[in-house]
Amino acid sequence: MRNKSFVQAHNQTPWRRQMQTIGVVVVAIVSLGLLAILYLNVTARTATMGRSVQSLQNERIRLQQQIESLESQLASLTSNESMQARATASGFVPMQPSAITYLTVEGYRGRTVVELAPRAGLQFTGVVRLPDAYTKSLFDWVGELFDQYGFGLLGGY
Amino acid sequence: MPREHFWRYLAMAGFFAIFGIMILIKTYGIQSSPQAEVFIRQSEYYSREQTTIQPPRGIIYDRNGNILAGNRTVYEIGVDLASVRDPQAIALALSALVGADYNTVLERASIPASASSVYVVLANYVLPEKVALLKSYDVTRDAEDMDSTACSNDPALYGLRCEPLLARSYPERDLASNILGFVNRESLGYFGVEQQYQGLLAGEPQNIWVPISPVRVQERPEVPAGASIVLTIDREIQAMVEDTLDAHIERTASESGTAIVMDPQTGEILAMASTPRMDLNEFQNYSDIYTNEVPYNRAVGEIYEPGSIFKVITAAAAIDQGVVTPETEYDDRGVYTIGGITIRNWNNRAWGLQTVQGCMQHSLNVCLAWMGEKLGQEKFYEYVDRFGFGRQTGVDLAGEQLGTVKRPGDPNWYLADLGANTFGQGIAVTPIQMVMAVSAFVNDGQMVIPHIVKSVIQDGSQYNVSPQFAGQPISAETARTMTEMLAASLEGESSLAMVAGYRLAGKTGTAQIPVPTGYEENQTNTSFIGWGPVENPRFIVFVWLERPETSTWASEVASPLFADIVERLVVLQAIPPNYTGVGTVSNSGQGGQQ
Repeated sequence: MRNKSFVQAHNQTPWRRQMQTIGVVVVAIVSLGLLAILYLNVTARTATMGRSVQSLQNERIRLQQQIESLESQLASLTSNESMQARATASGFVPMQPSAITYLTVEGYRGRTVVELAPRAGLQFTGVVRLPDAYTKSLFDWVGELFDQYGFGLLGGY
Repeated sequence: MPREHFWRYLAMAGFFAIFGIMILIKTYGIQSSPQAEVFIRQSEYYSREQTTIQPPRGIIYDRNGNILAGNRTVYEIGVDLASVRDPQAIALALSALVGADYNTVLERASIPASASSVYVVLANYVLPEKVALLKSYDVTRDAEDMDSTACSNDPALYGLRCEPLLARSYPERDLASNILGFVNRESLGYFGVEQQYQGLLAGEPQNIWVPISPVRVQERPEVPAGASIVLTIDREIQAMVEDTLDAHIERTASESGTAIVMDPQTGEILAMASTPRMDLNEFQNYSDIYTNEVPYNRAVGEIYEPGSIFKVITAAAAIDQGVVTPETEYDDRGVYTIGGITIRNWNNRAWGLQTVQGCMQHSLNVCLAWMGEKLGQEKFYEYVDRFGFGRQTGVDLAGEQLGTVKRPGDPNWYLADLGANTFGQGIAVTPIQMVMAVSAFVNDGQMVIPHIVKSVIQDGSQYNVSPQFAGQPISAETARTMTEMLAASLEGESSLAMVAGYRLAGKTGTAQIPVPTGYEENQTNTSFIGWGPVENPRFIVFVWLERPETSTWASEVASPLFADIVERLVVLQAIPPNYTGVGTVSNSGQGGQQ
């Protein structure tokens, strides 16, 4: 009985109870702090990545515009007027009909219309063969090694 | 805890608890209040911004893949009003480098920033070269990165923004301008292909909301670019036709000119030129160039009385009906009376006994009027309809006219009209109608519909356009007879339209120009339509010179133009010469007769 009341008195020591309370509060605060740090970290990284995505989206638009612009510039440089001027400057003169010798090639149908994209109905179906490294599992690789060295234990893949 | 402090702590705890509860109650009250939706909308509005994704306009290529219309980067220069430091510096820079009006820029840049005035545009469609000058305006500092929307490295120009955008670009400048049309600053196509295919080329702009917070960034939807178009036009042939046409307009002092080159078997237009033309990159000059309702493209947008080239239609109808054959004889006495009017030949002469072929060779109005009356008004106008006159051909170019055909039963039709119509007067057609009609002579009687688009590239695939036919006005036998007759006619006349090494068929047309009181004196429309090589036709060429001053006769002004075009065309199309008959005469120095 004396022993029991001693334990009870020990457990109910004011400083011990305060320590328990403080411990719980500190654990809670540390946990909350950790959560906050984790949240801030994730949010900051998300924001950074988001800003990066926005930047890349803008960059993509800018590059598309640049491609269009450069194509037009190239077309200007190779325009009929420019090419004629360059040809003349290089000493070329227009071909006279009397100076032409025609060579008839059987089956040659002359220039056909330019194909700038696959003709409709003839599109590539998109069957792409990925390299093995992207599709092979660890077991496949080990099996391949076994096959390679003649063990044949795991079979092929 | 000291007992005397307990109530203090309790009071403070209670105070904060009540304060917190009040915040919660207020929050709940706001969220469930009638104004909650307004607040939610406002918060959503300020959390994102609306952006229009304008897909790049489709590119227009010639048949060999040369770009005729593309896109280029230009800049919109504006200013964030809240950031402006020195409006005078901004006005000075833009007036010096961009050519903007100093006072206008100063006035706009000086607007005080407010909720309704955040950003103003100061200049538009500024070329990249000029923006580059702005970016390095302060020579003592590094140039501003061109990728940045900040417009200048000069602190005095702080707040200036340069937003890149795509504008239409025409690398070939005025080449094929009558065919292409142009696009204005609102991305609307005007005339030609740009207007006809506005829906395809422009694509579908899409409005999207972009979150301002980077945390909420989303993938932008893929907005497909406008479809690109491959034309049937061959750039080299087009340039050659334009150059040749311009040279002959100058040589003959003509008011204007039109030329069409078409593949008669497919209806593909290889070249189409008319005057005036303009540099499409400076489309704002349109109203200065096309004054007095001048058609943008005369080949489809102007009607005229074709004169004698229409005789091929009358003759084809008469032969197809079995009314005459090329050998049928007619005694030409120089005059023919029909419906109360007297018809005379072009030289007011009687030509005596002539075959139908002779009538075509000498282009005798009297003979054709006789042929038309023999055919009968009902049949004649039936063939006019069959050949497609008085309605659109369906060519895929904006602004096609119908032409004017008066028919029996119309209130203003008289029998005299039949006589005049047989040789191409009193009837108005477009050049493209004549070309389509004549295609029947090449395709065993079938008329092919002219078209300008060879294929459309959309969603990564190329869709080719197949030839379309517009009926069969005459039999295959009649078509062959007409071709042979007209080839022999050219040879018989030693026409200036002939080209050494190639057998060609064709017909001249000299027509007086109608005015409200009758016809103009000494002013004509001169045209020629021909095709070849006769054994395997690869082209139909139509030329028309309006009001030439050096001669009023088509045989003297239009025929040489036709020959010059064909002479260069056969080289560009690599058509070897294979004819050693009468057609081998040189077109120079031959005195053609009407």
